[in-house]
Amino acid sequence: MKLVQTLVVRDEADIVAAQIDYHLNAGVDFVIASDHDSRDGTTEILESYSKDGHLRRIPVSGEMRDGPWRTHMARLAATEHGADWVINTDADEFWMSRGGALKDVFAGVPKSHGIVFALSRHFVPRPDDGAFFAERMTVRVSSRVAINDPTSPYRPHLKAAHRADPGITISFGAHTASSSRWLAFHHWHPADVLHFPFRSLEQWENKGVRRARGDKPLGQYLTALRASEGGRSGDRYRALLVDDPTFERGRAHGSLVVDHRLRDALRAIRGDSTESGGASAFDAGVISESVAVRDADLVRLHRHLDAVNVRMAALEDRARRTRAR
Amino acid sequence: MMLVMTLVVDDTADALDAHLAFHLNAGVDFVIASDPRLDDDTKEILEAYSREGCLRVFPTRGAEDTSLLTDMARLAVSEHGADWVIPSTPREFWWPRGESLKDVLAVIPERYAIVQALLRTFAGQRREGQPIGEDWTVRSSLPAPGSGDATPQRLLRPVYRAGPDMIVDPEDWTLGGRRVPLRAWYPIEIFRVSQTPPGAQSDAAVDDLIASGELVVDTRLRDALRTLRDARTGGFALPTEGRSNLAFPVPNIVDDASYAVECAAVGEVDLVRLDRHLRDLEQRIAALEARIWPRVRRALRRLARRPS
Repeated sequence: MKLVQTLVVRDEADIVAAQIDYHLNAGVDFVIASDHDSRDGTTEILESYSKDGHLRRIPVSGEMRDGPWRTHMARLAATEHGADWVINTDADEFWMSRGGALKDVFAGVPKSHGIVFALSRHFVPRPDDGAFFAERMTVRVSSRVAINDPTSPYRPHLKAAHRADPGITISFGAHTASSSRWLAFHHWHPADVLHFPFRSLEQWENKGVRRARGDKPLGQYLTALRASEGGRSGDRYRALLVDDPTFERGRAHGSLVVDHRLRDALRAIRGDSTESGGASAFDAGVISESVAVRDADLVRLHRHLDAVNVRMAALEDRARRTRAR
Repeated sequence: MMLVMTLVVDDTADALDAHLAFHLNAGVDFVIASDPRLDDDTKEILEAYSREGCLRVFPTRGAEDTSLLTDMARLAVSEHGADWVIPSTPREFWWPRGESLKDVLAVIPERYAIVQALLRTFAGQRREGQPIGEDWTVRSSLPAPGSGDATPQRLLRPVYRAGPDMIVDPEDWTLGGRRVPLRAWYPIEIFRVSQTPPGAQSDAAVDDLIASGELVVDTRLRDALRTLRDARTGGFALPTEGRSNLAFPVPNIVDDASYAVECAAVGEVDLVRLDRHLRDLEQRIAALEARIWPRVRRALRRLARRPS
């Protein structure tokens, strides 16, 4: 089986090499990366993997077009790189299978189905003592109820992986994939996506300001932009940081848990440890978090229906006006 | 971003001064107030804020004026450039879950025309000589999920994204689905203080209710009013040179995870409601189809009869 990873990246030099190293060690055979005008050394990092034959770098520029770029790469994986399965990633996401290697998990998917969803597990920023992010960020959110705040970086969501398909379409953020060839497995999550969205004040501010001006300015990025414009980035970032007292409160409440899996996996890759990290043991939180994703999807569906309702009301109003004439 | 509060002064004046000062410090830029009772005490307070340039008195047209809220909101848009409008009474204190009300509303995605605020009811027992707000420290907790006696809308209040032709209908916030509300997350809390102190409850009874979880100790509003109160005059501080005297804490992930449990308890979104919503939409589509197809058939018949 050939497993190909797609990656959309812009100015993520602090994490991108770890992300690629991790996935190449976790069973990924080849990486296709859309490099969006990076200026912080990310391009050079990608080029080094390209020289080694592990990666194809696609330079992209201008306005962010997340869905189309992901779709293009996923189709290339099928048409030019002989992929059997494709995982769609961001630079701050690490796919970790639950039981067995990634390839084993995908090999177990019934032939009739070709789209599966991994559960995102969000890690929180911890005080920056200069250590590498994976050494510091070993606490993640484990909310038993969905946080449905449209401006929160911690809303429950899924990420799509799929069998190769030259006609596949990937959505913004790769939360869904649609294919005329493959059925989707909706309620089974064979892997976690360990997600490290905010890692330092500088990275949070740069990412937020840039993305707020992108193709889908999410509330979390608008918050960063407003803080930056108001000279309040430091204060605002401190509210995101989980210091030790906050962590203890969250652990007592059950909304924060310790998770060393990525730290251990990266240590093992570097040869610093014999612990492999890798596949996780049974994790009780996964059940409640899966339920939270389902609840969050219900809310998304209801919000979507509200938008359809507005269009419907406009049609009714037009029909009423036509009748009145 | 311009945030305007429209205020209908109800039957008590005692909270009005605290109310206005609190909201002007919480991010409200301007208040349009209507006082149907024409009370001397409230008139004096309103005039004082009007002299400060942060309030305008809207001419009253009687208690039965059904378009009052809409007219005030439209004035907020046409003459004060409002982007958002909060309709309030002096008993409702709107508490942002963020740096300010403005800060919270500024990042709401464009597609939402209504943000809903979660109602918290405070039951105070003001003692003789006690400054206003000192007794607002105990509030009711949310009803348990599925307790059935509270529809979600009873626990929520709307804030409207402003528009020149906006309509404020207290019975139908979305105007029959013409405006999209942000569901299942309430970035503002409303502290509604009780109109008549429940003097019947002894301290021991309140303690019992706190122990049973029916009441919750919450000192946020009292503390904010203490910050604003001038001990010498008893008045409240207004923002100085646009800077608020209040610092609202930005919730962290642990706060948000706890609050998510309360938002879920409101029960605004579930499969039953989704199903009802979908069926309603289906019926409306069917009604439209029933009107459209006969017209299309008639038009086709006319075309067919036309000589080529």
